[in-house]
Amino acid sequence: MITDLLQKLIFLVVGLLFVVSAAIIVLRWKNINKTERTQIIKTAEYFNAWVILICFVTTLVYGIFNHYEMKKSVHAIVSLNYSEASQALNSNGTRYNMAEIISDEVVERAIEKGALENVTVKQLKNCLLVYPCVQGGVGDESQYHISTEFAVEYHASKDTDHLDSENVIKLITAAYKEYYIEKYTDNFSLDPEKPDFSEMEYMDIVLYLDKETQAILNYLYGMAGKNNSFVTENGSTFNSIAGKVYQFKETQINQNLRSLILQNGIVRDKDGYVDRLSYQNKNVDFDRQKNQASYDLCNQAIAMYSEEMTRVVLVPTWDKAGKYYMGRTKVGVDELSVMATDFSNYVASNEKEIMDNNLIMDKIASNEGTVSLSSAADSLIETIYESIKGFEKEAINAGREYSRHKMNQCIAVSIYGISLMSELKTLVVFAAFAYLSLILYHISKKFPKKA
Amino acid sequence: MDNMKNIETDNYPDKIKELFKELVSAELYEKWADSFEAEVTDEKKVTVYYSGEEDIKVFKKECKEMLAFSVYSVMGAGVKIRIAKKSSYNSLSPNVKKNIKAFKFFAVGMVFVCIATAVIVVLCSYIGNRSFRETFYSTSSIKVDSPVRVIQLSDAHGASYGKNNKKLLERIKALDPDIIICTGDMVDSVTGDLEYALYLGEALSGIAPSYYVYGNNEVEGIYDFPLNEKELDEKFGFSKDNRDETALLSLEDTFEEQLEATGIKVLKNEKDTIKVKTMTIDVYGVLNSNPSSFWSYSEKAFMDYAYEDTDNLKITAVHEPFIFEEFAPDFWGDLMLAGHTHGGVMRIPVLGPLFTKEGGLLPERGGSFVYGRYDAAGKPLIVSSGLENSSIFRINNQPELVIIDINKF
Repeated sequence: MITDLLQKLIFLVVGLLFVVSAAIIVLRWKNINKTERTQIIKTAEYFNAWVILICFVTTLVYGIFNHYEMKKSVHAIVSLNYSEASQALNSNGTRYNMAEIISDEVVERAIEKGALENVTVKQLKNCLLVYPCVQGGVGDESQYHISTEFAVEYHASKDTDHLDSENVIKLITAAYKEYYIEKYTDNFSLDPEKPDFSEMEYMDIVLYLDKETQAILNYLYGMAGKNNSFVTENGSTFNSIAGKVYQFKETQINQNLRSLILQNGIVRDKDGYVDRLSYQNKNVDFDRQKNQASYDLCNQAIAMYSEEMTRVVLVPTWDKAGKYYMGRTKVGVDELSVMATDFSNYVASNEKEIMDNNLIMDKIASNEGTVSLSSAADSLIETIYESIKGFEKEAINAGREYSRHKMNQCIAVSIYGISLMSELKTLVVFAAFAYLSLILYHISKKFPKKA
Repeated sequence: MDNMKNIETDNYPDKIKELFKELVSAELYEKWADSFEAEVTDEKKVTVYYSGEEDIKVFKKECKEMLAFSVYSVMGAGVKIRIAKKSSYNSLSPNVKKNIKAFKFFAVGMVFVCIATAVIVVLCSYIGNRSFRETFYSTSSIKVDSPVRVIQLSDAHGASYGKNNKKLLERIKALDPDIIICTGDMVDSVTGDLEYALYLGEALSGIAPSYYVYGNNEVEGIYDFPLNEKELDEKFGFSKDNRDETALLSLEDTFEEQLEATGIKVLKNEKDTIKVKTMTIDVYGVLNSNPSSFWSYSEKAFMDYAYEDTDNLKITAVHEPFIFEEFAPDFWGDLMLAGHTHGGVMRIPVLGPLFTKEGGLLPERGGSFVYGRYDAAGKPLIVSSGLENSSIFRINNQPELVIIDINKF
């Protein structure tokens, strides 16, 4: 603030000198004749050492204050480097919004990252401005432009004067990049903490391992959906890795481990687990009954439907090539039929679950508690867990390679501080103004007070 | 009236010469007539400029009396007469002389202004250097799942910000780093206050996992000689053909034990692997960053680290950045940190650092890594200007604390 005041003060003094000198000349203009006026202007000392020296010193001092003032304004260019940016989309296909660069969440994150003191989100946000580097028009199609570069400007205010401008803009853009990566890019990872398997029931472990494997599969299928032809450095594709994981899941988890546990009724807490399964069966049976009732209701409704109402309804529509055709649309009875099928499937699924649970309970009841079988199961679980971690790493590495290939640094940021040329321009203009004011003052003294 | 006076004084030199002709013999006038001329400075002062080949003393002896008589006769008694040898300056017209005088005044004024400016700049820099600034860098590595923050301290040379570096440590704590790395010269070899490093080590290791790499000052303090190739060869009796890298690490070092007791890990041509969030990070520290001995006494250890096939993020910490200038291997690490240069001490706008011992005048123009972010084998190298603040020549180069955020992209 002091530099700002001093800078303005110097400018004011020079400006005042200019105005006063000009006023004196105007007021005393008629005190002398044209020849004398010409003589004064011609003989004025334009290269007076004092004038040049004072002009130099004033410009120097002004330049120092101006430098500090200009340092308070910085701007950055945020460039979106991923392929979807050209369609104004985020990398996950959602609509891009440049206002997020200076959103509350990003500014708050920047304050936290930089441990900035004595500033609020609102105060900092008031100093920031974002706009596209190239702004298209709306007049006609040739003027449309989707910008992939956005300028972020920061001008320090009274509240943020104590902060380093360059650091603020660096923090804002870094915080935005962090926010963007978290929100819009691929961030796959499994549960990093290994669960304590010794505290879990064997069938729960099977379900846990199955879930973890399925998460890897879902990630790989998702990546394959984005680009199924992408080949990693070691020659794998997302589908080939997914194939391996799927096979592992089916053979190792669902066949080997599940079979070992089910066939031998391996359990840690026999009574407790049987009670849990019985309670689970009761709940599932309740669902089954509800689904059965819904199925019956749908069938009754279909039977009640009038024949005239079941006719095909055709509606005019057009295909992708723009040709019209008459399309068949669903009517009420179709909807009921689909619902009935769904309820029937649910009932079947509920019955299967009850049967499986009964089977487990039977096996557990006949289990004689062989320690060797439990340790075999434990050992198999450990092996499977390690393999899953291996698959996770392979999937993540493939994903990273793809991201590196596709995201191309995702967002690039260039920071621009004050340019020496703009500072020099200001100084040259100020020096010329100061020189003019001083010369004018020098000349004004030669104009006589009286005619 | 003024014009009238000027016309009169303009005629005085001719009148003086005419009267002199009448007063002296024809022979004497012939001898000296072309060798002098009078210049009337004002009504009370006349300067006679002598331009003859003979000694001015002879001229004075033979003509002074008659010249004075002529002057008094023409201008009146009481006029000051000065006889001087005619120089090129004296031959200039009064107007030109006036301009020269103004120029001299201007030049002296400018010199004064420049000196005053220099004093102010030095003073302001010195006062400004009592506090440090924070320099943020962002870099990316595909090996990173979530952002990692590294704080680099370098070249403190015993500088303190607040009592026992309270201000510095408070800021480091507030910035919440995942790893802290000191890239050498934290103590000065001259003052050798090792207690300073021990206190800092203890405080830093209480904030985050911390590492310490020796700089030339620690090396000289601990080993009593710089670890350059020639002196190491002499010390161990090695030659080019029989060097053993491990000998370097066998040198006695009690400082390392003291430092590690505080919780900070000293890295001497070795790496330490650390778990940060879900990631594993290797931090490697080079003991002899002097290029003359790096390849002779550190190559194997470095190559083992550099070419190890791992998904761990690799951070390489070196004191002097010169190995990155002189050698270009395929890979130095995912992030390299260095110091030593003090940012060139004096930094000039546009031109950058003015001078470094190793890079000479305007070192960045010659391709030296002096300050900021550079590219080393395609990966970022950060050269810190350090925290030292005792030099009065450290101008436009505030001491700095470096904060590096490594993100996924």
